[in-house]
Order: sequence, then C-alpha cells, then structure tokens
Amino acid sequence: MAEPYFRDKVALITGGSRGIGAAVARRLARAGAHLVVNHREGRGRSEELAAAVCREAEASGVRAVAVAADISKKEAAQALIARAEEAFGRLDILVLNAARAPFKPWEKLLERDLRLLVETNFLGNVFCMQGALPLLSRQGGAVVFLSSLGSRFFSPDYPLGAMKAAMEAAVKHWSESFGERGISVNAVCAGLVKTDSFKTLRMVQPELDKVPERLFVSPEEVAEIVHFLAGPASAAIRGQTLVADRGMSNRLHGAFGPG
Amino acid sequence: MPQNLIGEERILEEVKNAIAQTTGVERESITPDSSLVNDLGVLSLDFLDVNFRLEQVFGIKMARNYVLEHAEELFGEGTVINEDSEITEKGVEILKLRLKEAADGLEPGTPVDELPAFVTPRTLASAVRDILACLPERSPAGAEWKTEDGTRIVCSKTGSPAVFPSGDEVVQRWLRSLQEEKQLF
Repeated sequence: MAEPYFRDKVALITGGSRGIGAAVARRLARAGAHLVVNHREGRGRSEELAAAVCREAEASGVRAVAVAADISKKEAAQALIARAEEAFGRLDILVLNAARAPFKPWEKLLERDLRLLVETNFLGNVFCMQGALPLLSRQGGAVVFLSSLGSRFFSPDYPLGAMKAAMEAAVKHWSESFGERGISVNAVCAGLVKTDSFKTLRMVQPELDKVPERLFVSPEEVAEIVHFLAGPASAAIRGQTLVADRGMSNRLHGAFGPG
Repeated sequence: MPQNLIGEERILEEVKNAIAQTTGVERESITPDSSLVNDLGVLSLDFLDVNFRLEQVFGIKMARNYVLEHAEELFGEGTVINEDSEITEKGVEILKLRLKEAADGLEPGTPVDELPAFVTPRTLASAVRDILACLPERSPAGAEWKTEDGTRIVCSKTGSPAVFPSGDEVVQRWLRSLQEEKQLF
C-alpha cells in the first residue's frame, strides 16, 4: 500500500489522536509516511488515543511517535517540532488540524474565550508553521490546514469560523511566501463530519440532528483529500481551500446550517 | 419534584449507566464520589456524551456551561475567575455552595482547567435532580404526572412529555437567588 512519494517521508499532525486528525494519520501511515501524532493533554485518554494511533501506524510498517503539546504556547509548538526532528531528522508534511473553540455566541465571549480562540486556532497554527519552516525548506514539502464551513457561513455559537477564515487567508499568503521553497500550502474545508467535535456542535446546534445522513462526510474521506494535497498529484493546486461537504453548501434552500 | 416521581437512587444509577455506556469505563469501578477525570480517566470532551445520554434518558437539557461561566456572565468577568484563569475566593464560595462535599479541596488559585476533576456521579445526579425539581405540581392539562421507563416524566392524561427549563437556566436562577440572598457581588 506504500506509495513511492510518501515512503519514508515524515508527517506531523496536530490534534492527531482522534477524529479527522487520526484519520489523516492513518491514511498517511498507509501511504508509507512516518508520523508525529500531536495531542494536547499529556495524560489520560488523550494519551491513550494518540498511542493507539501510533501503534496502528507501526503495524502498517512505519514509525510513529505521540507528542503532547499545547500549540497555543509558542515554546510548546517549537518543542513539538524539535521532537519531530529528534525522532526522524526531517519533516515533510505539516497537517494543521488541531482546533479548540468556545461554542458561545459572540456577545457572550469573555476576554478569556477570545484569547483562547485566537491563540489556539490562529496563533498556534502560525507557531507550528514558523517552527516547521526550516525543516520543510530543506527538501520541500506540504502544509495542509483543516478548515470548516464556518469560515464562510454563519452558524450559531461558532466564533471559531472567523479563525478558520483568517487561516484560509493565511494559507494563500503562505503559499505565495513559501512556494519558491517547494512548500505547497493548501486547505480542506470539510462539511459535517461525525467526530467527537460533532458531539459538541450538535449540543449547541440541535438542528444538526435533522441533517440527512447522505450529507455527512466521513473522516476517511477528508483524510483522502489531505493525502492528495500533501502529495505530488496536487502539484498545480496552490494556496487553495478545497470544499468537501457533499455539496451541502451549494444550495440556498434546503441547506441545513453548515458549520 | 411532585410525588417524588424519580428517586435519588434511580437518578444516580442512570448517571453511572450513562458514564459506563458512553465512556467504556467499567460499571463496577464507578462509585458515587469517583472523580470522572481523575478516577475514571474520562476526558472533558466525553462529558458531552454523558450529558447527551442523560438528556435522552430524562428528557431534559443539561447545562452547556459551567457554574462559574454563568457567574462571570451575570456578575462580570474577573469576579470568579481571575486573569490567570484561576478561581477566586468568590468562585470557591459559589462552588462549595453548589457542589458541597465534592468541592472539598477546592482552594482559591485553583486553575480553572482543574474544575472538571471535581465532577462526580453525585454532582451530575444533583444537576439532573435540580432540573427535574422544576416540575410543576400538575401538567398543562391539569393532570398528575407519571413516568415512562421510570425516568421520563409525562402527563398521565395526554402522555405529553414534561418540559423543563434548561440546565443553564436552572443554574442562572440559582445564582440570581444566591445573589439576592447573600449579596456576594
């Protein structure tokens, strides 16, 4: 199953212990890439989940390490990249998947909430990109960001959408800034995906329970697109955000509140 | 709640069931005062699953936000949580009133991130009970209430499910009456 391009490349996935991140980790491991699986909490189930992802990857013949780091802290983000270099001596693919959100309406966001919003979902990604740049620059590579429809559509209690929009713009800027170094930068904007995060979303947006099954996207389908953007097949695609929502956001009527 | 429709023990049982079913933790290891986070290894994200299950079992809506978040909304940012994300004296006072013995060991200066560790099956059962306790004496049709499956309260005449205030509303009401009574802020 290993693909020549990905064999022995090293991929770092933030928030890789579950959900879309874990699916991406599995997909890239199947393609032959070694993994750095990042998660935030260095204990409990988060650590177990990350370890499970790593074990699964190793069973498919690659090496994988789990690294706990809160990317909203610059030192932690730098330490994360340093750990990748220590373990593998290189970094080829950076998947920026980790996200955190207060799911509250804008008028109720406390200063603390706003700082969390910006620090994890924007600054954290910038810290990772800055840390990874020297390694990616050595041989070229790819950065793939996981966005969501909240970047371009309103849904209630989803201020994270504004950060996603900021990041989609950053993806374009980074693409133009680093393209000459052979680093591709793109994003995937998934629709509704049934992961743990969806449980939170469903709580604040109960109408999501009415969305028909056929509109849901699986984490594996999102991972396929990340894999595509991380590899040579997407050479002509630069600074783009590919929308993968089963067409849900195409319709004016009958759209079920994308987020 | 009227006629003591659902007993304390039943509520606690259902909470333990919800935890076991949604997190995979073994039923036997769940005691009333186990910390979900410290003793059972449950992640804060999993709390949502537990709450979701309880909502289905009892036909209620659990609170989306913690007591202290509601307090900040009502009384101002910085009153119960300081700028270093630590709980203030007033925050501790409120939590001790709400969680009672479960808040033993809670001190001013405790980081907010450590709060989920104080959630136990007993505190969850308490939250469920507080919501159920809002049940009026009679149903909108003027009839008595009865339960289905022992946990869902419906009108004995029409079968319509009881409608409760959300957990968030219940917490806010509690905070407001506390403020009236004690003038903490």
